[in-house]
Amino acid sequence: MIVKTTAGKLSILVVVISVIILSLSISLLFSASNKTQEKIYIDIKNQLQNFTKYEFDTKYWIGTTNAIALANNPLIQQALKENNRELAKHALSKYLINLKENTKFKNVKIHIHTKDNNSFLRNWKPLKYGDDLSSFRKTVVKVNQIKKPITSFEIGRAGLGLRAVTPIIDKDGNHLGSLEFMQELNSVAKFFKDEQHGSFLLLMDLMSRSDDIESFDRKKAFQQSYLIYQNFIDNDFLNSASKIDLKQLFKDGKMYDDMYFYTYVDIKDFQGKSLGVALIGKPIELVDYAIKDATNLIYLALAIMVFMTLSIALFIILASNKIIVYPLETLQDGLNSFFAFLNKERDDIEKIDENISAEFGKMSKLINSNINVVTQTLKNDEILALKIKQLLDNANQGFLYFDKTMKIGGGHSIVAEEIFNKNILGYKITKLLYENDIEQQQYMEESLVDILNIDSLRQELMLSLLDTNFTINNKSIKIEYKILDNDSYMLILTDISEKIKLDEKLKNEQQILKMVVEVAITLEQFTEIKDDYYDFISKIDSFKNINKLSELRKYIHTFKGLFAQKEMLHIVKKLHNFENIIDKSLKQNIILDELKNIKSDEMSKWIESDIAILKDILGDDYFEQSNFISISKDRIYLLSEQTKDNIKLANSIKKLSYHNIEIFFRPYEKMVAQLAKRFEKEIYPLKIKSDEIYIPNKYESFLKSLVHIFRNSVDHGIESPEVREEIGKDYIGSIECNIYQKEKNLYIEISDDGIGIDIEKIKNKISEKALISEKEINNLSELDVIMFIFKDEFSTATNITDISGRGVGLSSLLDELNKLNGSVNIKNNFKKGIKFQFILPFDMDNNNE
Amino acid sequence: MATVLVVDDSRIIRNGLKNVLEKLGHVVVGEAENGFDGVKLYKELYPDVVTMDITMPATSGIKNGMDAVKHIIEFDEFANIIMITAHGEQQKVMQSIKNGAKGYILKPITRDKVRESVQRVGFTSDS
Repeated sequence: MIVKTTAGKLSILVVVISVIILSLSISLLFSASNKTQEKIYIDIKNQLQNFTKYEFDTKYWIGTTNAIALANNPLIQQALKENNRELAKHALSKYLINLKENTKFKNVKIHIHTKDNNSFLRNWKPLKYGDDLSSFRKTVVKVNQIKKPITSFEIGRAGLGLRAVTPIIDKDGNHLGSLEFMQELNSVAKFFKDEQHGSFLLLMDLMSRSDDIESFDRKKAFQQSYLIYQNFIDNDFLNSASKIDLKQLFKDGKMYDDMYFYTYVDIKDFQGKSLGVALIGKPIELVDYAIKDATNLIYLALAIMVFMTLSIALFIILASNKIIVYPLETLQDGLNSFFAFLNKERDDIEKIDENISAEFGKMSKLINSNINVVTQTLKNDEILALKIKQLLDNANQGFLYFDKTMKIGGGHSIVAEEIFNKNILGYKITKLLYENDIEQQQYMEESLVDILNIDSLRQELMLSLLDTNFTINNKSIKIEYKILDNDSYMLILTDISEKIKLDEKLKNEQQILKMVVEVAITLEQFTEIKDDYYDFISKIDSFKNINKLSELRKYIHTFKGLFAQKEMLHIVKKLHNFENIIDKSLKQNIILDELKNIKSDEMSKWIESDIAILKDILGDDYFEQSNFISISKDRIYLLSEQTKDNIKLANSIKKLSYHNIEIFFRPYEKMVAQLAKRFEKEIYPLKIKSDEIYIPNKYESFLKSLVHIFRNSVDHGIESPEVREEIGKDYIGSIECNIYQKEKNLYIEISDDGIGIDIEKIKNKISEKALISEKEINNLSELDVIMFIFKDEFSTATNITDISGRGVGLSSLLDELNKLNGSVNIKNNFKKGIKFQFILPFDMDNNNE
Repeated sequence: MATVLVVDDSRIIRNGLKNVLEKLGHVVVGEAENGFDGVKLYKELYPDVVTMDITMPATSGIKNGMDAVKHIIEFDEFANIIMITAHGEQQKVMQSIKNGAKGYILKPITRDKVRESVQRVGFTSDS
């Protein structure tokens, strides 16, 4: 198990240190205790030996001094001189009685020898005397020889004892003999027992005995080699000591068994010869008491130490728990809950206990104050995020986010999902936008990644180059790109389907309105065109002939132009398609089935659908008005005046149906403005400068066909504003129209400041179409060349629109001009402009129609 | 006021741009009709701004406008190059911007577009 917590580690450390301290101190104390025991044994041994030696010493000097004192006794000297044993006896008894009465020496033996080493008097056996001592009493022999006192252990007839021998010399210096003061060691044994609670046993070595030794009691034998030489015997000690290994004792100096501690002192004679030993002992319990006292102290110290160490360890663990671990854990728990809260793993948060400890309390306080701030901030953020989410979900726009992986991350709005109609989380945005176009997907992904790695100026530029309009699930979606933090994107998706529909509807409505207005203000014209159209379609089948196709195409084209001028919705498209079919037939030189199938009733439906819309707005009977002529009050007045003058009446009334020529040009103002918009040209409002001229009906067709001039002017004449800017022209072009009467002619001039006609281009076209030979082309004048554009099947425009560019228009204009015997002048200034001048014969007064 | 180098293979566009730029108060210091001359002139004239047609015929190793941008940026990484582009050339413009171009003008060219593009690269116009 691996302990990871600080608390655990700390506890383990404390325990380890405690164990080390404890084992060290225990081993130290044990070794001290062992040493103490040993030391106590030695001490006791020394004590016992020293005490013994001290006792011996005391006896030595007592013996010596007493012997010397007695040797100087004149009675004893006299007794020896006179060989008077009674005298000596008398002298000794007096002395011994004195000794017995006044000292503790009750059992002193005194032995007087002659100078030739014979016994003279034994106070304890006065009847035995005269025996030669020289064979075993070496001290006596020696003292008589050297005439100096000697005190020593010696074995005599009375056994082993301490014997003080001194020479007896009279005042004249005559050597008379010697005196021996003998002491047994009974008192020492007694003294041991009384004073030391110990035991003393004097043992005589049997090897050292002489044959002359007085008979000895066999009972006193000790371990075969020794003889106990004392009267006072401690039997307990004797029993125990009989069993010990003496050799071992002599080797070690001490030993002990269950009962006693033993040691010994050597007993030697004056020549150093061993006579035996004094075996000394002390009850082991007394020794053990001393040891126990000492070791008990050690154990007490040990116990105190163990107790202290354990207490300290426990204290440290508990204290660290209380001071560090618990506060740390509290702090950790607090922080954990705080971070869990921050990471949104839990909703609530608990404050940390600030009373855990001084330092940690401070930290807790600090964290708590931050918890307050953070929870408040988070709460505010949450509210804000919630508000934003609500806003985003309720906005009509969809929001989604992705990073450079292109995968849509979380946080997109509900609307975004609705747009894609699925949960888009994790989808690649590129795949969502370009479902089947892998090339576009790759291009977009590359671009989006590149954009993140480029400076902000170019980011904006590159973003502006990305596609913004997509069709997703049949909805038109507009996308706005935003870069977030320079590493991810937010896309704002707007469903503009409704807007597009609305725009189209609005456009349609505007178109209808334009048609209505246009038709309403030129009702007469419209009615005429409409009647012409019905008239024409009734004969449509007669044109379904390969030879008449060209003529049919001219008609259709004119009608298309006329209806376009009236802003008609359906019929213009239908006629344009019809024209295409005719062109196809012309190309293949057969009457195609689809052409054959177009019948008059279908063609009348084309216009009727438009008329239905018009009637819906203007009223069913509105078109009936065209049969009436509206006359101003002034003109009625004039009419009544003229009625008096009968001659001119017919002419005048006829003139009532005439129109001011200007009204035929008024629609062109609007047409020019509309076409300009359509072709993205900038053109000032059409300038019409007209005299007040009333014209008969026969001019109307021609005036209507002027539509082709205006169209060409807007489409091909006036350059685009950029080009005009480039070539230094006013970027707004102008078209002017000037109408005046001069002599018997009506002049209509239409001019523009556009590009004019590129003569070379026309010539190329003529040769390309091989309309005439190369040679003829070279001989053509500028006017001749331009007149070619008035011819059938000629157009300089490269792409054909439903408004102009088929060449048909201008040729029909020329037809109308010819009908009126009119002529045309063209003033072409390539790159500067062109001016058409139409001259029509006109005699107001003699108009007989 | 900025000094401008106009690179375009169409004389009409060059003249048009020149007209517009001069009306805005800038000075056209050079005109080039291909990328190669454009790069060469840039190194000689060091103009403030370059207008670069995106599609031009390849000349002397310079494939087109995008390529010319690369060469000019290699010579001067701070060059202000504005691409002249038409509809349907978005990818080419994207590449040019990656190569270092700092703006683009979508045809038709108008005074407003030119003014704005030149403004974007840091030069104000008079009108």
